This record gives sequence, structure tokens and C-alpha cells, in this order.
Amino acid sequence: MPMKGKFPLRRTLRYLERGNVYLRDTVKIVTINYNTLGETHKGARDFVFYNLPQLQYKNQNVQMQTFKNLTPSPFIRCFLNDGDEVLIDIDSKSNTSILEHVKKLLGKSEDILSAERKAREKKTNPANFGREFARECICQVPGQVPCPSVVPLPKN
Amino acid sequence: MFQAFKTSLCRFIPQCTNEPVLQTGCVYQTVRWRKRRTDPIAKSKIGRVRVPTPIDPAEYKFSLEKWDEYNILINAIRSHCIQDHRRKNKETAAGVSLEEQSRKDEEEWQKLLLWNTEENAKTRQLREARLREEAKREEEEKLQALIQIEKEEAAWLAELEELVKKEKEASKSYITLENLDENIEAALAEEKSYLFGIDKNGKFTLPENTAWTELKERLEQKERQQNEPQEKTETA
Repeated sequence: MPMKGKFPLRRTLRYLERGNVYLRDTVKIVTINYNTLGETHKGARDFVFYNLPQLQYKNQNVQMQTFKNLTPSPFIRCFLNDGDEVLIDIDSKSNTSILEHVKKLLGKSEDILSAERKAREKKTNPANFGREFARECICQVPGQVPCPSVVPLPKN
Repeated sequence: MFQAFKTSLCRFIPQCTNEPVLQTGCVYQTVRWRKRRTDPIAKSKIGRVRVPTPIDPAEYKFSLEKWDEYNILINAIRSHCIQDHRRKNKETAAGVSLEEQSRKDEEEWQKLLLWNTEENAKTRQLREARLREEAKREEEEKLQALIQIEKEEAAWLAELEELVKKEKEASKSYITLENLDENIEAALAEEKSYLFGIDKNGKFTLPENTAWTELKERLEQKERQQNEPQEKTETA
């Protein structure tokens, strides 16, 4: 029942649902290097603290890893499908600008998202029958004529 | 007769019945399941020997061997056709062919990568400028510190020199082995009276015409120094 941790609002569904960055399908791993001290790393720290939970919630199949106090300047390194790497320098940037950068570079564009949404609607549409949909035949709907393979149709 | 309906109450329908159960709870029996295995043979069928289905041995052998192959091929062709059909539908729906779409996507991705490198370069420049500034500031501070140290050292040396000077001047009136006899004679000749008073404030009351000339001078100087700051504060 009680809220645990530093900023427990980050653990609420309401907060997590507000994330709007959906990474591309080719992005598999996201690593963030930053330091716990230093004015230039503040943006990176804020990004990890406030925005990373939202990002991970919306991209649950992407591995996100943080590395602390290894390098003098902060950066994000993403590993893509074919072994490609993308490096984002986030020195002295605010967390909002970092998020925008990530969204522009690695995020799915609005038209792709809308197309995916349409496809999902098609799937959830109860009027569709078939192998990839919820029901294969109307005979599976309660109250309809049963499947003729099981119960022969009346002669009339 | 071949289609016999048997009604029964819903709750008495056995869960593992072979007969299909309608939504209304009726048990509907069909011809196939009329005679069980354990039922006795019909009178007309006693003594009947089944004629095995005619099989051409060459055809049979061929079928057995080639059936799998045939299935594999046919299924591959079928799935290929289905995929093709689906892809064509998608393309016509999107309005753009798949190849072109993928080419466009690739172009966009390259553009974004280029933009990313440019942004990184900008950030790098900012960072380098900042680091240069910091290095400059550090250098200046170091220089200032060195200068400060030098100054302090010089001041210290000056102080020491003054002390040495003072001592040198004072040493003129030191009693050494050479002028020991003279000084003893002088001291014996002088009449220094130690009978002088000192009041609560530490002020000496020296007797007149004494040999305490140096002490008198020092005390007068001290008085003068004390009086001067008092006057200054009064005027202020």
C-alpha cells in the first residue's frame, strides 16, 4: 500500500502510460553511461531517473542498461539488429532534449504508429473471422448455428 | 428411425458423452454411432468376408515414397502463393510497393544518422570549448597561487632581514668578551637605583636623575603611542 522509494510516482501505471516514445523494431539494446556527480551529467541523471521507466514500459522487449562512473562524459549507445551501433552524445543536455533526440532518431514515426494501431484494431474487431483473428468461424459464437461438421444442418 | 432424438434434462447430460449436445440440452444421435463394436453382427452380414481394396503394388510403392516430397512441394508453393497474395494486398492498401517503401525507409534512416552525427559534433564542440575555458581558468589560478607564494616568501624574507637588522643594531650595545671589562667598570660606576614604584596600571614612577635613561625613553614612546590612537578615536 505505501509508496516506496525516492520518487514513487514513477512506479504508478498512470505515470508509465504517459511515455510516448516507441523505439524501432531494430533497436535491441540501449545502454546509458553517466556519472553520479558533475553538472554536465545532470541531464543524463534526470533522464535515467524520470524518463527511463517510461521508455522501458513502452518497449519491454528492449534491454536497457545503465553504467555509472566509467567515462568522463555521458552518452547513450544503442545496439541494433544487424550489429549496428548508434552513439548519442548527451553532454550538458537536459533530460527533455535527450528524450526528444532519442524519439527523433530511434522512435517510430507517427504514421507507422497509426498503421500499427489500425492493424491492431482490425485484429480486435469482432466482426472479423479467420485464422489470425479471435474466432475462426461464426459457429464459435454462442447463440449462432452450430458447426455443421459437428451438427448437420436441418434438411429444410 | 435413423435419426433418433433423445431429450434429457441438462444436468443429467454426462460430460464425456460421444453424442453431440445441442444448446437446448437435447442429445442428438446420428446413424454412425448407432451400432457399437460390442453389438452383435446383423443376420445378413454373418459370414461376410471383406474383400480388401485393390492396390497396385507399383503405384503403392511409388506413392509411399513420393507422398512426402509431393506434400512438401505443394505446401511450399501454397504458402508462397498466400504470402504473395497478402503482400500484394498490403502494397495496394499502402499505395506504395514494398521495395520502394524499404528503400525510402533506408534513406530516412541514413538521414537521421547523419543528423545524429551533426548533433554529436555540435555537442562535442561545446564540450571542448568548455574544457578549454576550464583549463585556462585553472592555469590562471595556478599562476596566481604561485605569485601569492612568491609574495609571501618575499614578505617573510623581508621580515627576517628586518629582524636581522634590528639584531645587528642591537648587537652594537651587546656586551662581548672584548668590552666586558669596560662594561663592568661602567656598571660599577653607575648608580642605578632599583627603588622605583609601580602603580596598579603598570606605570612606573622613576626617581629623578636616574641611570634608567633607556627605560625612560621606551616608556615615553609607549605613552605617546597609546595617546595617539586615543586622540584619533576622539576626533573621529
